[in-house]
Amino acid sequence: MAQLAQLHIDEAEGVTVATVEGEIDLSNATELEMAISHAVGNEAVGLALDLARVDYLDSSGVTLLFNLARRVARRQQRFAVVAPAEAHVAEILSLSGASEALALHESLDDALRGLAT
Amino acid sequence: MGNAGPRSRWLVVRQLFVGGDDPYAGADLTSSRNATAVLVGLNGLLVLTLLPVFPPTEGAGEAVGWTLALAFVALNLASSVWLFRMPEVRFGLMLAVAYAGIAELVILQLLAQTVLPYQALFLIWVGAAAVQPTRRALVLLVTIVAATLAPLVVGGSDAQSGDVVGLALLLAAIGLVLIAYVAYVRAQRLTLQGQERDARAHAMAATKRVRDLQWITDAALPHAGLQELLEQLLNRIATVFDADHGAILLRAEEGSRFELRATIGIEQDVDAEFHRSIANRLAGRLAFSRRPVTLTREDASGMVRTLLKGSDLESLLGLPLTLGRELLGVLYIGTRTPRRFSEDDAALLQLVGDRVALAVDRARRVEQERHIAETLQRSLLPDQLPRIPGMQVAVRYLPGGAGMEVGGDWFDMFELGDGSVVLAMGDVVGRGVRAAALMGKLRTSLEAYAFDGHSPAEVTDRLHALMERQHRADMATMLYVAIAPDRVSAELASAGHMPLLIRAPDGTARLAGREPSPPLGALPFVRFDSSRVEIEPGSTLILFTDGLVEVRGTSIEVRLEELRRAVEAAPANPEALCDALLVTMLGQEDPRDDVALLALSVAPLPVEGFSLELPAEPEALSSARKALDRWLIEAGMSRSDAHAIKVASGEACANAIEHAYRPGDAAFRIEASRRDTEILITVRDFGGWREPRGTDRGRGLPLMEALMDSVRVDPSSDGTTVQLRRRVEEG
Repeated sequence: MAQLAQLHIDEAEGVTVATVEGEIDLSNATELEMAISHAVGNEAVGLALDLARVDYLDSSGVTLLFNLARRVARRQQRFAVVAPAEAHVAEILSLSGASEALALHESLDDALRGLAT
Repeated sequence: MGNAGPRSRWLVVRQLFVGGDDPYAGADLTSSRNATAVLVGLNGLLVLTLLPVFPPTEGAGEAVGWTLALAFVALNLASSVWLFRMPEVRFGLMLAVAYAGIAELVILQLLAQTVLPYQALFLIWVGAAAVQPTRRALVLLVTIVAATLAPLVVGGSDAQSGDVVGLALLLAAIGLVLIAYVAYVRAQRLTLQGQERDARAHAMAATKRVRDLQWITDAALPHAGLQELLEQLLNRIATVFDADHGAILLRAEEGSRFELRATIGIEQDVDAEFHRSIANRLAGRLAFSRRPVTLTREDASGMVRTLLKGSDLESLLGLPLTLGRELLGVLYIGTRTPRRFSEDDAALLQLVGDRVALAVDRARRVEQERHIAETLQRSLLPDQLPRIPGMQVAVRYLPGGAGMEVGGDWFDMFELGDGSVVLAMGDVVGRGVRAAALMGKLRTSLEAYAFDGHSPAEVTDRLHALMERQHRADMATMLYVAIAPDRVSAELASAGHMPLLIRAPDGTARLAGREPSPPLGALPFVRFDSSRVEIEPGSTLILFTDGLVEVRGTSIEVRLEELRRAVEAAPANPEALCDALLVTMLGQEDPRDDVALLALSVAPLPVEGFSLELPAEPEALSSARKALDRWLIEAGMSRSDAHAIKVASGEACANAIEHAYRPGDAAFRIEASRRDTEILITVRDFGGWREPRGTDRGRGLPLMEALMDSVRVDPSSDGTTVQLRRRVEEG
């Protein structure tokens, strides 16, 4: 069966960039979390999670974000999330208080710059 | 008569003297006759030579004496000639002649008043005696000896007692030697005859055995089913062995129970247990010897005797059915009358048993392969069709054919990310495990290509390329129908498959996609096209394989028209429609070929709302979202309203799925309705509400509350109902 979400892993300036495209719900959130977490190498400066092309996100996805943040922090790495204001996810993130707790950026470049500083 | 040693010959000799039913045993009529004839003639001649020397004139006067004497001679000579010329003479007659001859000599003695000369001729009659059947010969000899000694007793003759006794002894001695010798020769002859008879009987028995074996195992040759084979075999075996009871028991594998598979003359239900115990007992014996075992009531011991007692069987011949080292089963026959089964019987049964074991093994393997193919086929077909609101689907799958193999019909249905619904059906040419495996491969590849976003024509092209690359020798038909997200049209691509049938809401039916096209993998350079059909809301799409319509001798066009009319006459509900079509098109018979039939009715979601029941699995969330999406779009909701409602509902559904932890909580229900500007979403589950665990689901409730105007949760012991309300703008 087709996947609800596609995950692309890339690397930019020492940062692991994880791009998710599609929908995140209860059925795939845990898997995604594991996959992204494993993709972050020990030498990476941090993780940039790009949610610009995520069409659906609910509390399972929010939980994924918070879990990733915790993992990455434990490894002394930095974490940034790309969620442009007009994207679907932005509203959900703000309603669930993720925008205060996590570093949200408008674009990937912003996020990378944020991580570099 | 066993082997022809001199010892057994003497036994025969003894029998000739002492007993035996046949007084003529071993006697050769012709040579006896010839001998008797010669001796009679010789008697006449010798009398003739004696007469001048010892004229027969003293006793009764010259005239009488000479008349009688010459008459005797004439009679002797005449008898001799006559005997020679008679084709058949009985021993009785020859015996009479001998007695007459003796009497003649006695009379001559009296006529000539002299004993010895004529008495000496008794030797001739001793010879005649020897060629008689042995016991009669002895009697005759005794008569002769008595006649020899008679003068002594009677007295009044000039013979010396010493001479007479001497002659008597001589005659007795010679007589006994001759008789014994002749008896010995006869015994030899009898023994040879016996051997010949035995050899012939053996040869005939061997021929009969071969013929019987052929007749019995002829039943084994080409066979439809194991059961029929066993019954036929048992019947024939019982006939050949003249048994009135018989049974064949087989077991599935080493150590499992014997199952009664075929019986003769036995009440199957009543005695099944009994026969199983016999079989088990026999199996024990047979497992050792691996040879036929015969039992009769007398020599059966212990358990078997007790068992036999419970039946009216008197004797039993049992045989293991073995293949290599494996004991497949037991075959036995029995009779109600006591009877010993011979060595030959056992040998024949052994040969039969070997054949039976082979046939059983072969049938089992065929059965196994069929089971594998069927399991494979079933496992490669979808076991659950997706539940899509507004769509009702029914499917029928009948593997057909009386043969061993299963065919390659397949079908599939799934919903793509963009909301279009794909129906696919196909038929792999060929049967068996191979066809089933190819079918699975096609189905999987089709799904992969479809989810990659290819159009029907592109999917078909790719499947064709797949066949060309990997399965050059195979072919498959396929029909691919992609129903557009708006549900009012569909795109079709077909590769040599039966056309699509569409039943309009008013009941009329039409065939779509009639353009001929080759099957997948049939011709090398082929591109496939797709065509578009309009679907009125409330229509039913029907896909089928040729097993539903193909009838030898009737044109396919005729049958398609029959089907079309049957669809028009059938009820609209997909399940009822399928049943009706099967009855109309196939009648009561089992289909000769596989039949796959799928009916899907398409209704747009009513704008006022919908209700959908889904399995309580995380994977169902996506279906719920899609349904909601479609409805929200159709209802003309704004993007932000739609998004909020979707996420809130998604939360409620996720909770419902999490609550399903008891068996029976297999489904949850989501209902959407609209009244004026208010949207109400109701999510019902059948488990028990749990307090949110940890932080995970704890986020759900606040999110729902933030997105919707009101959230109401009603937990109860048999389920929880969540109601979400939101006022929407006309978008």
